[in-house]
Amino acid sequence: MSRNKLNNIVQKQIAKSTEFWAGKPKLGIEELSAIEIFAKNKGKILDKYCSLDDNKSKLEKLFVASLKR
Amino acid sequence: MDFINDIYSVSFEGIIKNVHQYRFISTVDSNDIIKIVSLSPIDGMAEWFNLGFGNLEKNDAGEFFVNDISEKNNIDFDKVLATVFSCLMQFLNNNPYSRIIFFGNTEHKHITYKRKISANLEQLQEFFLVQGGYANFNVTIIEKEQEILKKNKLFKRTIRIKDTYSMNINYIESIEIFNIQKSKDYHFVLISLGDILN
Repeated sequence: MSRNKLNNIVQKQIAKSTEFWAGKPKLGIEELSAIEIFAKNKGKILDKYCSLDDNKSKLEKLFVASLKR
Repeated sequence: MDFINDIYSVSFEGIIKNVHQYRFISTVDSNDIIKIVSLSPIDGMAEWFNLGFGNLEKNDAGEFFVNDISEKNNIDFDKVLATVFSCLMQFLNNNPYSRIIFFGNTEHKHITYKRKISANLEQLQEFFLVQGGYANFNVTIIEKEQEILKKNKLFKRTIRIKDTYSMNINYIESIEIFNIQKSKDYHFVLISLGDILN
């Protein structure tokens, strides 16, 4: 699939969503803070692992190697 | 999966402290459940993001929190999952070199997600490079009482969840193209654009 096709689908999704969400309020500070806390907690699993430089490069290498198989 | 007509409308709420935040509303028979998708960068790994997904709820003190062990749903899992992937499409369209990693936090959910990915793999692969990975880790399993809403009736059950605060990855063993036959053993799922960049 080409980059253009993905972009076209995303633009259609956004256009449809924009219509739906028009006039509806965005999330407030409390909600956004709750999401931020949740996301940071979820990310801790890998943050801890990747705090070692060696692990960062291993993860990157595993990913690159997986593409070559 | 129909990524245009059979998804919920997504609101991109912005990037707050590097966390990309998306919201949509699962609606069936006027029962609205607010769903949140978050993508947070992994420290020191520029293109790697961790996927979080759950219901936006209020606790007894009236404070908002994202509940990723909630079983409150509208039995619209396929549409919800397609919508989560549409969020990833939007994200990857803007960040085409990024990789998104996902660890399920309950045995049940992790198995369910992998089953759903397996069932829709062909369609997902039209858009994404879907990979599975193995990790060696220690984690404390907690048993938790949970209320499930099914057909407007509340049921109680005990679920086993991973205490993500205690989770310690010793090493990542390998990453491979998602293989349905092996999927039950994957510890995490990795999503990126892969070939689309060629």
